[in-house]
Amino acid sequence: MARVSLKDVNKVYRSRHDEVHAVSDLNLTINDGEFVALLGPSGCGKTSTLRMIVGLEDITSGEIHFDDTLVNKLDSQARNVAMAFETYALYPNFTIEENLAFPLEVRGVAPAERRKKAREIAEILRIDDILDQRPGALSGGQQQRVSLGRALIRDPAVFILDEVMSHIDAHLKFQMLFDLKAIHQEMKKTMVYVTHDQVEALALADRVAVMSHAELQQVGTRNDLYHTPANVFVADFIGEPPTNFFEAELVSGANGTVLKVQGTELEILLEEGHAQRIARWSEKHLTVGIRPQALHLGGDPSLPALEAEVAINEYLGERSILTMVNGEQTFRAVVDADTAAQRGDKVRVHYALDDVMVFSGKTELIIL
Amino acid sequence: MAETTAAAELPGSQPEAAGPLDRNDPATYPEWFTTRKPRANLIVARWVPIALVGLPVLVLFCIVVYPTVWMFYHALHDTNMMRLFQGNWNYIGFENFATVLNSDRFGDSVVHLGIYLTFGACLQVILGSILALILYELVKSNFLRVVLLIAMVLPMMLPPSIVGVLWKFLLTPSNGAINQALLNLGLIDQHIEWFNAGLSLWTIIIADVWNWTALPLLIVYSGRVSLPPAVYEAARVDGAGAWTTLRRITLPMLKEVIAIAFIVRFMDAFKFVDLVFIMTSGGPAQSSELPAYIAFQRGIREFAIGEAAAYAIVIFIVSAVLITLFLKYLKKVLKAQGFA
Repeated sequence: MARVSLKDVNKVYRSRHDEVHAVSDLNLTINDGEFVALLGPSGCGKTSTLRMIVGLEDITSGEIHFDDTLVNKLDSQARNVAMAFETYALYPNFTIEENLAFPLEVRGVAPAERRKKAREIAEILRIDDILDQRPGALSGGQQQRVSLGRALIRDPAVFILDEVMSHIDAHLKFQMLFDLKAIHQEMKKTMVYVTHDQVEALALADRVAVMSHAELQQVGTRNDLYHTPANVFVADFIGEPPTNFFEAELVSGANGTVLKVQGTELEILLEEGHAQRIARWSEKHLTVGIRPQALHLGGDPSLPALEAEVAINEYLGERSILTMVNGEQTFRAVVDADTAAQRGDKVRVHYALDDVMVFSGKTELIIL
Repeated sequence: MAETTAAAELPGSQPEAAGPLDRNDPATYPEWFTTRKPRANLIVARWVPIALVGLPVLVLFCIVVYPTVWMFYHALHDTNMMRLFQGNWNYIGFENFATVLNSDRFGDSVVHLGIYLTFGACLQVILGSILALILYELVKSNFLRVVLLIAMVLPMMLPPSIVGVLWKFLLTPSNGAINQALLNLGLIDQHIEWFNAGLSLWTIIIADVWNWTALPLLIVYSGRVSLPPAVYEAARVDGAGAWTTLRRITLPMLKEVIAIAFIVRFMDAFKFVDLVFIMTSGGPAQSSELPAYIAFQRGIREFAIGEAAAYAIVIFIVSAVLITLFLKYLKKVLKAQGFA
């Protein structure tokens, strides 16, 4: 087991005609035994980062350490990493048992010992009934389990999972998430999990590293990401439905210092101390974020509220999502499923002052 | 829009009719549909499929089925060129086959074929596979790879007549380039008689290997290119070295592709005539004859058509049996991997 640290890591793909900066100045430390998820939209550089950790891709510049060993020049074998692939990458001509035992076979483990370990792993992953079959005959979920098993069978420094759930149907995914979490808790291995699905990342990881446009945006626990997102991107990416953003201007009026939302009559109130802090801020144009979950229909009347006209009421079973319009601004609120609000109704949604997130309009970084 | 309104006004689609529309009732169709004039439709006209399938079938019948039946018929008759023109041939049962199977000439040619299969066809596949894997695994520059591939495929693009003449020149004992080169290098101290009774078959094999190694090379190379790269990444991560990867992953996955290369070269071997004809004409003293060459020699040059047909049928049966066995094997392999 090992601590993995990435220092100023860059990856540039060069072709004859252009250059793509896939990962730029990434700094990240994954502690021994920690489960870290790399989360980001497609093409954000998360898989490139992972392939550099594994050793399948050269590091353009920067350093990757496993504990105190610099691994930049080591190949995957010397780094002792195990990886489960998005496409499973099972050996088609081997049986499942041979697939599971291949890493041991390469290391010269005796056949009887290989057999025993393969059966143990297969039992944990509940694939012990298909050991004599070949990958071609299996379902996607089974293949993914075999691929996980092949990575788990040895004792690697780091265990790496690349989008392993993306081809598995939703029902099986929940089971697999549970299994994976249980395996991690039992084995205490350092794990890096790459995904574009925030549900998987937040469910599994001790810490989540959010990436976008080749850069690391924020690393933190799910609470950090949810309540104090570092910037507009993280606030937008984490949470379902996404955060409501308002382009606002700081004005002083009858209600004290408020944020007036552009193109509407809406005013967003701020806590006293915050208002003063923002007033000292040089920018006047700010981006305000309020999560749909923080907007309550018919909440405490003493709280400030936003008024708007209902445009859509989406019924989602245990809850509904109201899409509302005020002037040029559209925003959403998560409300009780039995809400009777219909298109055209005027509603007031209340919010607590500490649920208001304020970002710089220019740099998109959080102010408070 | 106008059509749908028309449909609604037709009596059959009135609400009181209830239930699904009756598709056979003309009243349920709108007027524009029932009154339109049927136009000749080329795609569904009855004669179109018959013509499209029939013409190729007819052509195939003329150039494949008819000659085959003709061959089987004459294999059982004492036909030769003279009798053929006179229209006068007699049924002699399996006498032609007996002649073929009992002749020393045929026995010798089978031995020659065995040598050719082992050191010609097999060697080509093995050599081609090795070259293909070297080209893919060791040559990393894309440009160099393409250049080498083209260079290696060039011999295959030459017509057999040119290849035969070329190698005949190169190997001419007295003043051929190869003998001269070997002499100058000091590897031999006198001319090698490439076309004597002991060497002529091997000389043909050398020319044939040069000519045809590119075919298995192309087959295996394309097979290797299509193997999933993720599997190789998995092998790297799992810690397999280059040799283990080749032995445990690449070769097993290329098994079927290499088998196909073998069968293609074997099929060609059974009908291999061109280089034999051009380089040695089967000689000296029939020492480089292959079965297909004898069939050609007996039928076309010595006019023993019945006997030539019998030769052809024997070759056909042997290769058919071999190919059937191969296909059975291939099916078994694919089934074991869960593909079929």
